[in-house]
Amino acid sequence: MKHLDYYRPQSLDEALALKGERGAEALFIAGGTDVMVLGRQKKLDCAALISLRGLAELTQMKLEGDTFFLGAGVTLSRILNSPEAARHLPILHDAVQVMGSTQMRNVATVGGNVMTAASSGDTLGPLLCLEAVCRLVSAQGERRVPMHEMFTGPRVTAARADEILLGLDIPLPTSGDRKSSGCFIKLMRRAALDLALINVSVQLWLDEAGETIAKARVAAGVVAPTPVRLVESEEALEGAPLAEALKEQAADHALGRSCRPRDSDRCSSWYREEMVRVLVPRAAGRALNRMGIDAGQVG
Amino acid sequence: MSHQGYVGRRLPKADAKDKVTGRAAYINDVARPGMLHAKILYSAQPHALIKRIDTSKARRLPGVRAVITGEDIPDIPLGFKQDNRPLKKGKVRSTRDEIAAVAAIDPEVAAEAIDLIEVEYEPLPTVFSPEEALADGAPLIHESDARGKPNKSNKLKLPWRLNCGDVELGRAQSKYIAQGTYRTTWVSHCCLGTSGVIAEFDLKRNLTMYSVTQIPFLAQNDYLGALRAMGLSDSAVRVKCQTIGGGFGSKLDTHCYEFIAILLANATGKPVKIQFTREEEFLAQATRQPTVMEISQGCDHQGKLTFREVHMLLDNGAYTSWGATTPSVMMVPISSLYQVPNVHFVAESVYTNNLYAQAMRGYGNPQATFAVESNIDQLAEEAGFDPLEFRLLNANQSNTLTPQEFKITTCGASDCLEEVKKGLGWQAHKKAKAQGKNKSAEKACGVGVASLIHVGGGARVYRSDGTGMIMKLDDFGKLKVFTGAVEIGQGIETVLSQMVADSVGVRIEDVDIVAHDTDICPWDVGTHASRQAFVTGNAACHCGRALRSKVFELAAAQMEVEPEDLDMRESVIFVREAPEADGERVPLAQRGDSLPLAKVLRKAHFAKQGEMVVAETFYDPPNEMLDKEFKGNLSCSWAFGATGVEVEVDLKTGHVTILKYLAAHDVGKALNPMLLEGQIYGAAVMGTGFALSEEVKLNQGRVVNGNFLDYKLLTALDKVPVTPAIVETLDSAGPFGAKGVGESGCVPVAPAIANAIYDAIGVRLSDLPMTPEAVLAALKERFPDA
Repeated sequence: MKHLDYYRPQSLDEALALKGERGAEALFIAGGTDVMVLGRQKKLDCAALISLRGLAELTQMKLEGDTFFLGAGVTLSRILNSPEAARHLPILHDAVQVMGSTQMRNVATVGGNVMTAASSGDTLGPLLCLEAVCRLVSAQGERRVPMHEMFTGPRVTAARADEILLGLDIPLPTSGDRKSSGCFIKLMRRAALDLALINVSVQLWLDEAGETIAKARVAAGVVAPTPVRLVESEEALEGAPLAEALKEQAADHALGRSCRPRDSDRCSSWYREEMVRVLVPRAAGRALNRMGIDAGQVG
Repeated sequence: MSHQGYVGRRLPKADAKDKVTGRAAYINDVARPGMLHAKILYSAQPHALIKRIDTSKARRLPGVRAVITGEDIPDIPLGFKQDNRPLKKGKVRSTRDEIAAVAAIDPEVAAEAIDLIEVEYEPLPTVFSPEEALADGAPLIHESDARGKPNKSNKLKLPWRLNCGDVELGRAQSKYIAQGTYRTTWVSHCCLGTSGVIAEFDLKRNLTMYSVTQIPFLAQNDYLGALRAMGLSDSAVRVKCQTIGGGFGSKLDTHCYEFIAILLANATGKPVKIQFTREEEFLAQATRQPTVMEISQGCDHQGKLTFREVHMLLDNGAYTSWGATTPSVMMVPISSLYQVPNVHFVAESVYTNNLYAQAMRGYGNPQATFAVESNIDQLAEEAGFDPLEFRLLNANQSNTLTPQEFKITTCGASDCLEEVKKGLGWQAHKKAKAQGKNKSAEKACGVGVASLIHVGGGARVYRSDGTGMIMKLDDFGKLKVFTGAVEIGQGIETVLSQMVADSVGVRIEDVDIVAHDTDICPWDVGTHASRQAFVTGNAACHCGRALRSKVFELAAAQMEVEPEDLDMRESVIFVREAPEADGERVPLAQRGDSLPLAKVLRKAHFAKQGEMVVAETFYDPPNEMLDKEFKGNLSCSWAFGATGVEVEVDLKTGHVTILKYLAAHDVGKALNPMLLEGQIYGAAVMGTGFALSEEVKLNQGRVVNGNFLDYKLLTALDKVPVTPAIVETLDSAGPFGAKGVGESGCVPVAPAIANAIYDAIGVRLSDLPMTPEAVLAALKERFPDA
């Protein structure tokens, strides 16, 4: 690994000042589970690292009214061990559970996962489905970018070079007595320490009668250069009776536009495509289960 | 021998505490004063002429002490066919080819210097499969053999051909015949400790190698050969093995990096360390031998096997290590798994521009058994037999001679199959399947079984299968046991201590194993072929007997009894029988009188004309080298086993989950059931990885997944629910009745899983690994309308 300058600011302001000074040649590092790997692969294109670890402003996780605030520096382990996250955001909790290993989850952060912006980033699909909003701060102040506008290209985000991701505002899906739940499924070659071959996230909101799907959010990873919402699939589900969620046709709609998996050394495109078709209804079925609906009977 | 009962007891590994507390010093932890660190430059091309190497920038980098290329070193031929060199000169034949090396003050500077070396290549046409390599006009990987004789093709001059009985006759006698083609690929040993070495010359130019080898004494010979080539004919070599983080066969050969360390140590006059990164381990550590296997077998109307014919094509890669010799062990299951009268086996190794292969746990047996046992299932189905009953019908039996002339003395093959049948609930599953109850819309369950035969009583793969042992008792009754065996995690030092304590009659706390040093320990041919418990155990029995008689002679004199009257348990010597009065002399000792061993020893040392108590043995088992026809009793006892699994296949994703795993092993005698189970668990996970997930992927000769993210080694969460079943046949050739078991467990795993997948979904997977994608593709091909 090449020699880099390393900064360990003690406050958000100090971090912003450093970034202002070094600009694009400095890269933020939090848990380091992505950055250090790139370093070993000699793919780290920067002259300095600015550590965000332990900055108080970034490490909050709290439920305020109808909004769940997730600081960018919150580790995956903290999410995993949070009863509130498990209760209100099962879709995100699912994802964190199957990321890396215990040791990695102890240092890896949700902000790091967002800012790395890999198509395979496991928290990204859930955050897209939950319609999270990224809070970006710079010397100029704060800017709010919805998740679905965040990923502009492979490993590229809408954040400017002088901005730090402060955290994510997640509107509680169950606010206002709406019945909602979600599920995340990651296809792996082994039970831990693996990147997704693909991942699929589904969040469903029911109508008041609990008989049709009022709103659906569906996302997938490793099917396109960035994590994507499968909008056609959402449209197919919305307004549909519950049974529709469990049919593979619901997923078929997704394969037209946003879903463009490719062949890689890890997996063939046909398999990825096929798995979207299989996993979207599976995730939908489990989301229904979580709302106390017997998916077996519905299907 | 004393019946203290250490043998058979569940004792934890002697080195476990050191390892879990971080005290054990692996090669990574070891440093020598003034030590330099070296890095290696590997080829950027799979097949090319080296037109120019410019090392001037690397040499100028501050902190660099030496840079060497193939041009700077004497000719040091390496490997089984002597076709490899520590650093390649003029031409590269694969992307793992070492072409330059740097010694520097730290690993970072060495790595930086490596990046400064400029190499100009002239690419040559490439071949990446044995089929391509055999095609007309294929480029020659090696223009000549080790003797300088021009090569006409890429075929190795290493014909493996076994002929037993008359296969054509067997074919004619067959009512049913099944055939298949099976393929296995490159897999890595994945030792958690990566390869490493420190080479150090003293001022007399004697060499010490701080090493991780499994073959210290054969390695010593290889290093001496290199020293001779370097003009250091009078130098001696001492090999000191460090704590070894896994072997699995990867350390059965000497490797290029070890010689590079020697060359750099010689060039700099300093100790030089090479420590592989994980990426390097995947690239430059040779793999398991990949195979293409065509098999056919037949049986008569009663289901009795009539013949077996196997043709293999082996991708040798660019150089020849032990991989090319694995057919010698592939023959074991091919000729002798089940009773089959007529056998024909041919294997051919072919040079390509790929990675080369070496020894790996089972030494070809897992590959060959994958073909044999998958095909046995095909044949059973063809003939209308239940696969397990078909195996029982043809199972090996005690006191039989196999077509390859293996003398099977004890055999627990049928018992192992019965254990699987019972433990897996075989019949209940078959009943459920007949009623269609093993399936839902999304999942299907199936059971499968496969057996194994492997060497269990040493293996005469070299002219000697011997091992030396020295036992020395000190003043205080402590027993030092000097052995050439290498502890590679298998637990030999623990099991050996148990056998020594029981052989001699001392407390196990008083036994201390001294190993890992060629200057101190007696010669041993190597830690391979599941042989150490067997050979060192027998050596311990012989050596222990000699030591006991010396002790009894001393004690008898001190107690004024006959040595035959004495016994020793837990380091106390006692009179077994009351000595008879001899005329007028009244014996001093009587039945039950005793002396502590330490007291006897001190008296012996301090007596006038004192004595020391040392015994030595060289044990070489009565087994035979294969003759020119590849026949003979390679091992003096044979290990058997059967593995049964129940799998659940996700019909939509192709994902295979193992629900039950029953591993039955005929081990002769369980010397230490805890360690034995450890071997079985480890082998199950290694075998399951081989079956389902592990594969070094090559694209145009380049490793594309050389890291633990993309090489799918199974994790602790990928639970393989192993239930071991131990069958004890008490083989009289073995120490305390034991057979070797180090490799057996991973032999039958892949075919057992493949057979279970077939049972579940009616699709036979013939290529490893059986990934979810491969399973689903096979399902879709077989049932396009489903």
